[in-house]
Amino acid sequence: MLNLTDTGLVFLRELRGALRERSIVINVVLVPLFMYPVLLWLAYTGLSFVIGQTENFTARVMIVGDVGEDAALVREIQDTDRVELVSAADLEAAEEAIRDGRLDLLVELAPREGGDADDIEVRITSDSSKDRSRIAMSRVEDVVTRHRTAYLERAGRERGLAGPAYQMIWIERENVSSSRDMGRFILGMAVPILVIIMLIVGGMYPALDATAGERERSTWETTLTAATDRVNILAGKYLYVATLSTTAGMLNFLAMSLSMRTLMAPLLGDRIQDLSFTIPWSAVPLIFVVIMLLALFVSAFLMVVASFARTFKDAQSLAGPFVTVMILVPAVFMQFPGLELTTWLACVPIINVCLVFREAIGGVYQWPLIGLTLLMEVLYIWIILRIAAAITRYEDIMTGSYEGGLGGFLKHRLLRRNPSRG
Amino acid sequence: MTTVNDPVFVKDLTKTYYDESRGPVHAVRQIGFTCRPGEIFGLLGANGAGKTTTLRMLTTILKPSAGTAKIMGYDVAEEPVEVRRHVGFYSATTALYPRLTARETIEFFARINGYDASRTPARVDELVERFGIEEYARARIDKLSSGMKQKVAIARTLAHDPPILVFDEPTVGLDVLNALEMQAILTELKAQGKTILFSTHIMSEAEKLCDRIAIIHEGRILASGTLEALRERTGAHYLEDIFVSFIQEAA
Repeated sequence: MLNLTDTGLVFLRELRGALRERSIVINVVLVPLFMYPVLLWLAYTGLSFVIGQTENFTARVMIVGDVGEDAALVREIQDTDRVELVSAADLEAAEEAIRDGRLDLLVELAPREGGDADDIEVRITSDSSKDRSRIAMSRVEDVVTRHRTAYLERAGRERGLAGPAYQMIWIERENVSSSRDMGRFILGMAVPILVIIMLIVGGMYPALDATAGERERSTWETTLTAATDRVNILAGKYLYVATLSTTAGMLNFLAMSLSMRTLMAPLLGDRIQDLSFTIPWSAVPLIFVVIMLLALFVSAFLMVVASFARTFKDAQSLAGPFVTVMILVPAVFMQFPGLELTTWLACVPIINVCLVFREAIGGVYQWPLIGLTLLMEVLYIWIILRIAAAITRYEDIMTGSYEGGLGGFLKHRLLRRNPSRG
Repeated sequence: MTTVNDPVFVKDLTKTYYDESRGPVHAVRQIGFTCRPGEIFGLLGANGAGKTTTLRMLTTILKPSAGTAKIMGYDVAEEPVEVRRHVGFYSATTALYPRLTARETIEFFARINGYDASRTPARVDELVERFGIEEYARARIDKLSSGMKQKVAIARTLAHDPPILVFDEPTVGLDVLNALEMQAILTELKAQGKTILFSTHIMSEAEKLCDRIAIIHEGRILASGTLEALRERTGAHYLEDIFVSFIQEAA
């Protein structure tokens, strides 16, 4: 039976020590609150600078062929902003120059076989693996399209046809999403995964420090001499790790929500004026619950993994691959904008809460699936805590003399129920 | 006379580890002894003899593989929390929490070991004064010298005022002055009526401090009794000779 007083004493002792440890304070408070948004802002600003640089370059275009009737088109290409006409010895040399990056685009003009006298064929050669070549292609295609439209209008007028008479299909576009919806969409794509990363980073150091770190400092034996059930010690430590992980997640959520507009400004430019980055108040309690559950899950998992390590460094090596998976899998999943919470996805840990998080930011609440997600997450946490409780029965793991890891423990001991070697 | 009502009662206590490469390793084999109220009982043995394993079983850090051990009548396997409540464990390898202050450390162990919350501040003051650590009582442990840490560690052991104290090689790594101070503290605690179980491999220390001594070798107790009784059994005068005599006899 859990003794709340003793659990509280262990929790406060851990917390007090943690707040005096610079690296913990940096990872749990400063990085989520300030450093992460600042780093993202720098990254976005850098990205927009690079994009700007790329877009402003002057494309080197070579035009070959019998221009005769097409002189107007050539002039239009030549007069286009940031396009410079260059020459090469022959077509082969031009293609070689494109591959080498000395030329961005080759435009070949020729009469169209089997067409009218003024029909022309435009053949464009580019290297799609090069940004400059792609952008040059887009600029020239725009000019050709404009030239063709002008020609059609002119020819139509000469034949007494107004535009509407030969334009069979009209397309009208209407975007029903409000500026608020678009802002939330962007928030939903970015914030959940960033919060999860911060939550894991915030919980990782305390989790490893409270288990393997204690063993390395030889304070674990001191802790084991305390006159309380070991479950209370573990519960106190677990609450401490989960609290710091939750704090990191909450602070990051707050920081990202408040700063997203500023962060995205360099990337979106003037389009930022049309977007509103606000999170519905009704979503906040659910988001807090989701962050807390995720922190409880991550903390339990990291502590169980680290309990097999003898030193902090060992623990980092053991936890590293799991942390990578815990970050990468949801990061990849969250790249699909159309991915929605389904019954199956509600059963997949971490991804389920990420999706609930994203939908809550968008103001979408699928309550039965949200309920299933929360239930499943609680179930996973319960399973991990059961494993943690089982570990406490094996004194070689508790005292750090066990040679294996979590996998070996599950395979050779827990599933075979062989505590005799403990 | 040995009785189950003695503060420390040990009978047929055994500890076997399982090593993946070596198989079962018998660290302690069916040992038995008792500690009487207010005495210093010494476990004397070479490194690896099984002293620390025995003390760790008595303080419930390790679980016995077989046998019985009772502390103030509480079974170490069945009632570990009660056992820990009645024992203060000091070990040279048992470190202090580096980020807490001396006061916080003593306070934490008093509270977690069941010392009355309202009396804890007075208890902390008393121990801080007793060990002369007022000056650095509010400094982080990791800022203290090893001598200072040793005093804080003893204060931590006594925080909940336990009737039984277990000291595992308490003078290992200490300079002469600190070792002498430690011996003085043990004598003082004995005078206060504490029962002390003490392990060492330093013969002079055991000779000087212990009321009774058990000689432990390769996990077995070869002999136990007062120094006088051991002298009578072996005919040797010095503990060093007595110790060697029993080891040779066992071999």
